[in-house]
Amino acid sequence: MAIHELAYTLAAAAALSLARMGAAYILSLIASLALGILMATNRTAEKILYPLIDVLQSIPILGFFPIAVLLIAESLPGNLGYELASIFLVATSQVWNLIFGVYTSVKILDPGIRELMKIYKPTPILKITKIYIPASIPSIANNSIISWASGWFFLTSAEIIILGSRGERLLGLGSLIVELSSRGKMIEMTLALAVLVSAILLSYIAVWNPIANIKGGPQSYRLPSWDALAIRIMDLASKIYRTLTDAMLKIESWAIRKARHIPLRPRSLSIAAASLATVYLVYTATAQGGVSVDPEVMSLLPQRAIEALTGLGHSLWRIAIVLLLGNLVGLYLAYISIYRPRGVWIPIILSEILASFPAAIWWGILAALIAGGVLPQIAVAFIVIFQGATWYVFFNILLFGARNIDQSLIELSKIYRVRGSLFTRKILAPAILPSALAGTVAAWGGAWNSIIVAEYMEIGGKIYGLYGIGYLISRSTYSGDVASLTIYVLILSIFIVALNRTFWAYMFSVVEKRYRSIST
Amino acid sequence: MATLIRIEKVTKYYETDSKRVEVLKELSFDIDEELLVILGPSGCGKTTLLKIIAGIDRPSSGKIIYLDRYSKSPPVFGFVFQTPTLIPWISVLENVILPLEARGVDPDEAREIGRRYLSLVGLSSFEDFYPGELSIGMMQRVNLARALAISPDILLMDEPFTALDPLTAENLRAELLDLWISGVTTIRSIVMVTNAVDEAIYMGDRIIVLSPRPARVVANIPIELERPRNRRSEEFQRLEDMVYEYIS
Ligand SMILES: Nc1ncnc2c1ncn2[C@@H]1O[C@H](COP(=O)(O)OP(=O)(O)OP(=O)(O)O)[C@@H](O)[C@H]1O
Ligand SMILES: [Mg+2]
Repeated sequence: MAIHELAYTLAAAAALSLARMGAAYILSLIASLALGILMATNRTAEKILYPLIDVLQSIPILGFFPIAVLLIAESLPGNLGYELASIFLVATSQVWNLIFGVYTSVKILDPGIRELMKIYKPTPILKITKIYIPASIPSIANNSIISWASGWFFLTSAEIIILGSRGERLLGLGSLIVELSSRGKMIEMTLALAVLVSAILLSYIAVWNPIANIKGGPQSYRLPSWDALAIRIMDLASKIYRTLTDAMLKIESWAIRKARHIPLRPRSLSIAAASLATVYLVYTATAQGGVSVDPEVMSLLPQRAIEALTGLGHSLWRIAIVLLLGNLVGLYLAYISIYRPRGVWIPIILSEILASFPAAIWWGILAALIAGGVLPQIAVAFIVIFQGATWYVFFNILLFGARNIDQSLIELSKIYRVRGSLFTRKILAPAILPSALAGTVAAWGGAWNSIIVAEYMEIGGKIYGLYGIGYLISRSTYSGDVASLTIYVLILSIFIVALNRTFWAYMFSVVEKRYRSIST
Repeated sequence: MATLIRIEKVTKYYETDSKRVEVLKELSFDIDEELLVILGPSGCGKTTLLKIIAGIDRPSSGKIIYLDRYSKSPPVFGFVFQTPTLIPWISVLENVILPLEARGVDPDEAREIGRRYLSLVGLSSFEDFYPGELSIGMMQRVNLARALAISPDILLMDEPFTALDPLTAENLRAELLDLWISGVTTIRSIVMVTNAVDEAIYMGDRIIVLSPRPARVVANIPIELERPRNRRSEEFQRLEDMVYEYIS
């Protein structure tokens, strides 16, 4: 490739990837506000949506491929369908923590504000725009950092949409890097990697970090940032928001005057949402059924289930080791962040880049080492799981736990010289425990998603496989075996949700009990 | 009477975004072996000043000089925070002994000391409670017990009685003065911040009056009334009128 041609391709790929990420983020933001607020304010919606979202969250990105390909991509003409499918796929990796963030913010709204609402009875639009959404802003500001990283991480998977014989490779940084590496173009790949890292770095320094600093609530240290652009963006966003709000309030007051008795009804809304979701799911199910309900495949299903279970076993211990390690490193980083707040930008920037680094790229870089016998394949799998999962732990600890630790407790420990292990045991570890647990649970979900790329990777025609549930899911996706894919994903989701409902719910209740009994 | 700490032209401003908030302006005074009261209106920078004296915040310019035997290693400070500042996930007793543990005191001994000071502030039966299970006034007493338990050289108190009900406040004031006058403690100097004129005159050996923000020293008034002081006495009233002159 000529140099100007390469430059052109790189610029186009970067622009396209960023545009997809941005579009997916806006989609995620709107969805998370709508769903989060609905769930937090309406019992019925909460009962239906919470478990549904819990399940959806546990589905690896490849599990959404059938929907993306069959429902979105193929129902629209030309590349447009695949573009939209790609945006949808990126959004499936960004949206979940945003939804839960909004949900929690509204759910734990200051009791004083609840009293206030009871007394002054604001209209629904007023409540949503002046109370619920503003109350969710700090959580959105902080969670966006995680979502954005998650989007990058799965970018390659979202730009190379292949389901058996169908599919499309969209031009973008993720697909470009994978292609360059599989064609062995090392210099071009290195350049593309540099562009990727710059794009990641820039988007954090100029957009997400300043937003988290300014809107993220009280904090003991600031994330490294350059504010000018972000301030412009926020000004623009708040202008748009104000205009929209005013317009909606006008319409609402007009509607209330017109028909005194039909304000927006959350219940009918939630029923509408639930029936939409049902229709959608049924439609998807039948659409999937239409692909390969080959009787031969059907007869293999019991065997597939057994494969899935043994695969789960193999993957489980890999993930457990990574989570344990992640928490130890996280605690250490938290300690550093308190004692050397000047240096804390280093782990933060590193986490931001590493978290964003698309998984497939590790393989591109490390495949040579595996081939040369320098690195065992399982080490690469560990690196990918570690990188794909533990940053949830780091981010939760560094963004929420350590950064929001009560300043007066830090002052207290400075005055009385409480340091080292005493400080860690009595103040730091308990203070970050809730966020570490939340991070671990998210990482647990993320780990199951990242094993699909940790246990299976194709580079330059060579397949690197490591038996496990992730391997099974990847293999069935790329060979177009939708029936097996469905079985694997189903069993994986049931397993994850079952553990969420039992083991992790128990851990949460222990922590919550301890923390609630002392804070009221 | 020895001077323990010298505050020399201390200026402090905070920079937030583009705004610069000037809080302290060229403050200079000495802290001797005495009960020094710093009196100033709300928001003038009293808490900021105490934190600078304790060494957990830095002046923007000027110096804090530790004198006497503290020129090599700084004095041990007890600090009664304006809000209780207790660690919510450990018990009341554990909160009180945390500074002792930090100094390497044997845990059993630390607990014994902790209990002694908890009973001094009238909370013996609450040692196993968590801070969240106490009233604000009780938390504030734990805050005080913690500051005393460490056997400080200098006790810094940030409006220690404001959060308490008048009766408890009056009792604690008397307890504290007893402790101070009887000389059984290691405390060589108490610096108390307040915005209540009568409390300042009731407690202080000397009052430093600060102006509204940015704080400057507007008066330095020795109080030579006999203890125990009588708030109704003529001299007390006269002093009160005089101090009010300065702060209004
Ligand atoms: N970390 C900070 N950043 C910016 N401004 C601050 C900070 N801490 C204090 N200030 C400002 O400094 C000024 C003095 O605050 P300070 O808490 O010292 O007042 P104070 O005299 O103790 O008030 P009060 O009697 O109400 O306790 C206030 O205007 C406050 O807004
Ligand atoms: Mg104060």
